[in-house]
Amino acid sequence: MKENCKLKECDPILLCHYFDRELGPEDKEKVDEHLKDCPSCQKTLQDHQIISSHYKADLKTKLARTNFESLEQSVLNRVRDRRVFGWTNISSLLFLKRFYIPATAVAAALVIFFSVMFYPASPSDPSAIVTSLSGQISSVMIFETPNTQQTILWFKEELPLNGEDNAQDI
Amino acid sequence: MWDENKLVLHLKQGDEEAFRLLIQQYREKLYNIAYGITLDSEDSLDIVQDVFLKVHQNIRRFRGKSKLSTWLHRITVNQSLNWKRRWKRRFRWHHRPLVTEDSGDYPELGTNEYYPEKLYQNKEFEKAFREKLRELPEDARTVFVLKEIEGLSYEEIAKTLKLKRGTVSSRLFYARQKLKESLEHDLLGD
Repeated sequence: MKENCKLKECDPILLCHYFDRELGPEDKEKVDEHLKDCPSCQKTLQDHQIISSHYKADLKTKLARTNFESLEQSVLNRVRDRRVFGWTNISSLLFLKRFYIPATAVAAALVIFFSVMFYPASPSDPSAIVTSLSGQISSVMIFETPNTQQTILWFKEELPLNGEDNAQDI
Repeated sequence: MWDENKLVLHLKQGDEEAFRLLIQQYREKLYNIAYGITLDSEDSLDIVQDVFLKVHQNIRRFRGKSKLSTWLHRITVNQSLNWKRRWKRRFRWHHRPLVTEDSGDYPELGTNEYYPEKLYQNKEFEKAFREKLRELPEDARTVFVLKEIEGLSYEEIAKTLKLKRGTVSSRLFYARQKLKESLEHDLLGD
């Protein structure tokens, strides 16, 4: 036996690759040789095998209990339903969302930008009340807008009390 | 049996028979992957159903850059991992049912399988094994599942999960070590 064909020490990672049949011929030969004289690696390999077998057996039991016929029928029914409701067209629209969502966002941003930049300021908003007077008969208020000066004059009117039209005469 | 190209072509044309064939060909494999990740039978069925519906919906976008099986595996893994991330399901994930799915699985008295001590050891071992499987980080478990169930090579797993080959190797090694170490008492106790 060639000495360079043998591993110098146990290599658990290499052993894992060996178990998974991922080694090239040279490495495989090295591990094969090593395994002949290494009970510890033999045991590790055996453990891998037990774990793997147990896991597969467990899944096999699960599979045997599973009703795949009903699964198949259910999927086919749902596909038929989708055809009836034109899901294919809807899904192609949904596919377009990767385009129309960014496009909408950009458009919204542009609208906001231009409306802020170019929206004219309201010309007729009052900027300040110059003066106001309030008397017993009338009230006057004078206020300024950017371009004009406005005067508002209003008279007070005593409303008659309910059902008492002649109340003031008494 | 149709070859993959023919199957994909017919699927793209909306052929129901092709879709039925696809389901029959892959339902068990995909279920195994979903179950391997979620460890829940009923939810795995739901996941597989969703995977097939997704495939039906998106088959026109399948360009054949990877194998159909790789595409299906990838969708199943993603669906299963998403399932786990939903908060409701996450609650159930941590919740242990009082009656396990295997509670009715004991052999009858008088049969060859009935050796109480061995049975007890097996049940204990199964319980511990499942527990440790559950405790594995999902990325390690996903790699383990694809290796053990589908028998994929490191390269194929790497393509399916979009990982490097070295990452696949280290996650698989980690998963095996954890399962082995944690079960050492049950499995290897002399």
